[in-house]
Amino acid sequence: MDAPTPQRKPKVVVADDDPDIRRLVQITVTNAGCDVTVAADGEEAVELVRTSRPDLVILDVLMPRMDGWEVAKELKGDPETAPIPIMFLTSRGQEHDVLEGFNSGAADYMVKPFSPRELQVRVRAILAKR
Amino acid sequence: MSFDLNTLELALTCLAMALAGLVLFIMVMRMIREHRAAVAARVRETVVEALGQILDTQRTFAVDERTAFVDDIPVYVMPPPGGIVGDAVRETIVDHLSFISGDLRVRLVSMLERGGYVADATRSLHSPVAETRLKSCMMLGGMHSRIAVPALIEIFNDDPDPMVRINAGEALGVIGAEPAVAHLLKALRTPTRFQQVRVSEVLSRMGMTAVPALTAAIDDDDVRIIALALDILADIGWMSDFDPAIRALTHVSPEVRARAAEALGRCGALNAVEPLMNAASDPAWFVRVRVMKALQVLGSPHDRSQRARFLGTLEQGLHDGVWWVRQHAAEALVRVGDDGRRLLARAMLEAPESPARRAAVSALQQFMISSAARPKATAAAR
Repeated sequence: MDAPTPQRKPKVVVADDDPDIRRLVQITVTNAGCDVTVAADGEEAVELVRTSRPDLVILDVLMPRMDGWEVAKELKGDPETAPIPIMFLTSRGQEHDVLEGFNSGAADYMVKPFSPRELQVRVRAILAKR
Repeated sequence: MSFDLNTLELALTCLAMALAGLVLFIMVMRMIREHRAAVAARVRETVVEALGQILDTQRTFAVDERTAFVDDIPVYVMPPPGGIVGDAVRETIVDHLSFISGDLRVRLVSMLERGGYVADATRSLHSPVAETRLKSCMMLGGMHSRIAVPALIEIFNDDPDPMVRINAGEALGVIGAEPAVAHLLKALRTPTRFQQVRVSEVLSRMGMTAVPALTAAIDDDDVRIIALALDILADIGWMSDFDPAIRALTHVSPEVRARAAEALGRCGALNAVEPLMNAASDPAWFVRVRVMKALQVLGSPHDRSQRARFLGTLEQGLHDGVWWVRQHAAEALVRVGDDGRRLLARAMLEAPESPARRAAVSALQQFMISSAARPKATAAAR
């Protein structure tokens, strides 16, 4: 996987089944200087990640066909996609959910309702580490 | 008996006409519903398009009367509230408010306020129809506007319908305005258990906003209020000041003492370890149980003399007459570390029928099972 060069915008895949949230996150992360593609469910997200090899994946948890936990396990279980950082953006905010998220290999975990500004800062922080 | 065919024919004709009228009515209602849904969908698309610019963090935002400006360019004019269009606009913005926090949420709330939507819903709080008032409470909660708080407080205190009052309370909880907390607390005095539970849930959801008022409520005269305040603070997991709860450890009511012990443990009140140790000899067994649980959570002090007293307190609990107290004391001793486990090992040397021995064996067994289940790397690091 190529590290982002000054000429190439970081690629981010956003997966959420809610079209309003998907759109808002897409705009927010695009404004953070990224190229964003979206998926409406878990299976689509896995397919998109495998074909586009993004620099970051932002996942909702409660999605049809494959939930966020399963997507994370699938990606982390594949040597080709395992190094891609994952951030969860979800309404599930109980302690055990957060622990589950990090145990699935997440680099970050944000709970909805979320601040778009905070999301941008966190995305930049994750991308800066790569 | 003669059979009048004309009457029968007339009756059948009337029936047919009535059925035709009913079918026509159903078709017309369906067409109206579909038209409304189509209009609402188009309006929603337009609003979402505008929100894409309004919620852009890189751009400035202002709202003047009904017009929203982004980088000084008008991007959306809010229609008047009400009707298909107004309702669709409000619902779209409220949907976005449900998943956005921070300063961008303020942009959306100001659009609803300047567009007259909050004022319109507030006026409906005075409708003679309870259902309308209830829906207005829910709408105002969804709009997250603090302008609505005084009107909601009034409805919460004075509405004749209990479900309207409950929904007003929930709306206040969603908005999270601190002025509402005192009124919500006052409502905890209500004898209706259902309302008490709902208000307690609202206060728990308000979280840190409600903490100062709840902490102050621990000094209330009403035992029910003190107990509920302690329960809610335990749920929230924080207090603005631990002293009222520490004082409550010596309250005349054992229920209050028990809740104080639990709340101090769950709120992580490390400076409460000493008072909790003092409370370990409480005459009420359920207070002693909560004290042991709290000490288990808070852990041993670092100071050597305090630590010795801490261990002595737990050892005393291990020999308590009540099984539950012994169990929690034993679990706390396991968590203390080697010193605690030595005390448990000593208890195992007691007579086989000794209750303390059984509690020690059970706790050590659990500890060994969970240690074996942990990954070897973690065990090595320990």
